[in-house]
Amino acid sequence: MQQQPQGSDPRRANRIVRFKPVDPQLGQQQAVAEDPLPEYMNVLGMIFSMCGLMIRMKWCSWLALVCSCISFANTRSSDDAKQIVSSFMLSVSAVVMSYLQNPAPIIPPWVSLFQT
Amino acid sequence: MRGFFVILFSSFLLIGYLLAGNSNNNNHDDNEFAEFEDDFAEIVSDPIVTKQPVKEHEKAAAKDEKFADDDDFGVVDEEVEKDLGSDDAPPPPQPLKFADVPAHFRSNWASYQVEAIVLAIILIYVINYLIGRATNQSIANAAFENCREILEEQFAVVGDDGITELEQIAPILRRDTDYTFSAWCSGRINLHYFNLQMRMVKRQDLVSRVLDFFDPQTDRLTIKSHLESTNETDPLVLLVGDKKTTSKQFKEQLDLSTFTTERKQTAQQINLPANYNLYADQNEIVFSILEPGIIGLLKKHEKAIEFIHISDQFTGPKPPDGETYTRLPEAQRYLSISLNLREIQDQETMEELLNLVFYLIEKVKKFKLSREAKFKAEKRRKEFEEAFMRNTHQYRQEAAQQRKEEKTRERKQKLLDESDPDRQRRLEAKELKREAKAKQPKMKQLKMK
Repeated sequence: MQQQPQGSDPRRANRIVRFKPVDPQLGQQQAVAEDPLPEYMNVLGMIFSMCGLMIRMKWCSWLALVCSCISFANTRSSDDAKQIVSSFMLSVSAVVMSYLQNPAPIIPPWVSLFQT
Repeated sequence: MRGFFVILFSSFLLIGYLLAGNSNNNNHDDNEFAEFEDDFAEIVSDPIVTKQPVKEHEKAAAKDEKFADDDDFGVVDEEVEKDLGSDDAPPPPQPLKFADVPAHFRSNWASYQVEAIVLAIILIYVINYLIGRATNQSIANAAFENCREILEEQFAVVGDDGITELEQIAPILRRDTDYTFSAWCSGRINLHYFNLQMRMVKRQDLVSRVLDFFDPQTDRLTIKSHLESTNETDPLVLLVGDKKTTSKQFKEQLDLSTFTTERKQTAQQINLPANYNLYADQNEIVFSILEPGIIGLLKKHEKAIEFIHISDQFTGPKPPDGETYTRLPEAQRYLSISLNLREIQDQETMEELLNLVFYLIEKVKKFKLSREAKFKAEKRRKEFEEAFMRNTHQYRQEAAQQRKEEKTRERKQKLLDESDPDRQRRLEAKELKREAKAKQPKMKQLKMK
């Protein structure tokens, strides 16, 4: 295979095209189509937080916290940081509120197995 | 950003702790039986101390009763006598007996088993996140170090971020997310830009790692370059690479699905690796671009090269189902190559592959089609454009109608909003005239002599 002839410099400082960040909306659409996991986790986290806050289901609050963690680990560059912060706030508040209301622990499912 | 998170989280926990402390102090007020419980506790806890004064008091009372001559209190006398008799042998204090409280009501730390498990999972997730993130960064940096030298030889700018002054740009890899990295290179003959993108396995996410067992992914390096096009450059669309990836690309990219067909016979003729598929606009392109030297390199790095896509009609991926472009996006001359980073361990392999890319860029610039082939290619592009215009005619017409209606609505709104009656009348007359004109049949009036 032919190589570049020695001595000829391919660099051209006058032809530089500067980097332009992709349009966030367009990039977002493309990214969602490519990998929808963070979106799913966001929605699930929201649903679990609401269940934790409204119907005081403690395990829902914990699941919401786990979902927020997964969503945070899969953040894309086009994602809004505010969304992740609010997701975390919501899930942590669900945990705190449900334990303030009733500090009793979650009854593990295996307790009933041992008792019978 | 991360620091902000930590502060936010810790302040939240602190507030929660303080609130929990307050609620414990207020327990006394909330509990209706608290005062009874407290009295009971005092009596049980201090029986010996209170015993003595009670005894003396009772003895004194008994003496008083003996000397008092009152029939009404006869019953009381008997009771007091009984009490006095029992004074000599006090009953032993009963030991405290705990009630059988169900497990979930005992608030000791051992009962918070589920919470402990969830916290452990979150802790493992965080540790994996930190380790995975660092691993991804180190793999990407190692791969970039392997190609940094050759990139600096080829480009005036390596690692542009769009903000820093040109003179101060350092050739570094930009971290887009925890698993994607990129380096923008520009300032070279025959191309506008050369975007080097790395997409790693999501090592920082435990869920993705588990999913990876079922559907294994690999670290990928993709180079997307926008080539310069002049009147002298000839049209071509070509895709070569491993079967799985190329068939996916063929379905997704608009230019490939429009202009190319699979060339099995030609692939056999040029002795392409058995694992590879070939899609091309015309056979002539294949013979002139994929010459024996390149085929040799493709065979050598068969596992490392996922696909090579060269096109003069690149418009990006197809629009999603049910949507169509109302205007054909501007086609660009484009070269893209995807490499499997797991198969590129040393600098030599990386440099060989990058040299292949630069060689292809030069080759595409210089390559010439025969007159017939060029005519055929141009005819096909023209046909596609015409078909597109025909298909989207209705859409464009609808869009124009919508714009027109929007304008009319705006005018009428302006007329209604006008406060000056004179001006309103004038605007109304103008509007009526416009409507009359629109209703008039569109044909030339002939004057009869």
